[in-house]
Amino acid sequence: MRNVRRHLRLNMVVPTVIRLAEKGSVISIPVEELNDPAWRQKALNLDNETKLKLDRLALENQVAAKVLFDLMQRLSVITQGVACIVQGLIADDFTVPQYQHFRNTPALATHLKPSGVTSLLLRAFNEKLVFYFELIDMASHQHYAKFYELTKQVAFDFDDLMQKVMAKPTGENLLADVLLLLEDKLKLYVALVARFKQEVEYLLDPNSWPLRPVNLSQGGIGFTSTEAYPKFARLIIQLRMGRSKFPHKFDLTGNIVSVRPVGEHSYIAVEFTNLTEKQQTLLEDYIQLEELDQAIEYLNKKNSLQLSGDADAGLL
Amino acid sequence: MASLQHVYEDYLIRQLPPNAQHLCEFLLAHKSLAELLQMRDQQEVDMLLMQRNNVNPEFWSQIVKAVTLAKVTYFEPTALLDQERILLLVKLAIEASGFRLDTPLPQIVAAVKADYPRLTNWLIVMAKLLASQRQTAN
Repeated sequence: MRNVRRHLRLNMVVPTVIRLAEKGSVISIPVEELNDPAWRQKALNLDNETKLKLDRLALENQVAAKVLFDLMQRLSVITQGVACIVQGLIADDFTVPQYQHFRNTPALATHLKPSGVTSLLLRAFNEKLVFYFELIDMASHQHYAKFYELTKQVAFDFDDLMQKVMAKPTGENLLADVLLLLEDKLKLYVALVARFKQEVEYLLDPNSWPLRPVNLSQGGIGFTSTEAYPKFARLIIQLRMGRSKFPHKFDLTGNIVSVRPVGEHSYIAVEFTNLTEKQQTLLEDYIQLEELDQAIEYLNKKNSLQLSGDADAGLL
Repeated sequence: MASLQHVYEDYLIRQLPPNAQHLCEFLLAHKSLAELLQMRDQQEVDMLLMQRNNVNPEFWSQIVKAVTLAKVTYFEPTALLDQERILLLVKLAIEASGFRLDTPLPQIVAAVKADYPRLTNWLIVMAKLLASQRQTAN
């Protein structure tokens, strides 16, 4: 008989949510794009191209150029706002210059009479921007349920209108070109919003937790990730364990202790930091249960051992 | 931190040469019960592991059996274990320690008492847990 002081680890696939914890209850996601020079350059190129086209448009249609410039400024504020909320910068940390100004001042597009394709397009694009202003407001005030409800809106008048305009072969259309460039820039950031929305959904609905392969022990967890977590970052890890009879949700926190490249991904090892002795025992019980379930699954497949019947007659 | 200190039945492991014992420790720490059962059923010697640990391949089945017994007795009785799981563990322990499944438990306990102290206690506790669960179910 001997003692061991290590924790046996087990590979398993369980509903798991892992996110950065440095903001407490604030949702944030790793956003490597914002530090990626190529991604930033792409956004910058779109801005530069937009400005060039706007200058040309100003020679043809000064009013439209002015309205578009206003929309461009609003989009710029929105993209900065998105960058803030996805990184969990809220309340005092949410400091986007001129955000409140543009949020509270009606866009020039709203002064246009809603007649004619041009004004309809500009107004519709502004409405789309207003939608993202509202999303940012919700997230920056941690109104995640309202944020999630808002994101269920999937259709914008602007998209339909733009599709119709683009279907007509009218030669060069500077206004449409500028709107497309603005739309392209918005799309870059909408992709971040989509990932953020996923995290919000995980927070609101544990049934949406994705199944994730992890290597778990009562001391820590290891997992493969495509996301670049900062070194030594603190993570929130939520697990739902117990396949049938006794499901249990674990809310864990831990520190990243090592990051090892695995192909194009990283294997991240995390040490739990918030477990009481009682929770550790409970977690171990569930790991034990999972290990037995894996064994039963294997035996059922192999049909190599009858789990009930005469064979246990002599046991008791 | 008692929960971190598990004991397991290592009698069979101790009967093996030192290198094989070392390999047993490795398998115990790195292989799940399902993987060990698969190794048992496949009966294919993992030559890479054996060579790396300088162990004679003829010890393979003894190693798997010894680690299976250690792994099974590493499981602690908890309220989460139902009859099916307890029964599985007990059966696997009995098989790994070389008894037929239809051997009466008191006979097994009496036979292993001297050499397998952990297994003896473990079998008694598991049998009690199983009996109480059966009583509750009835």
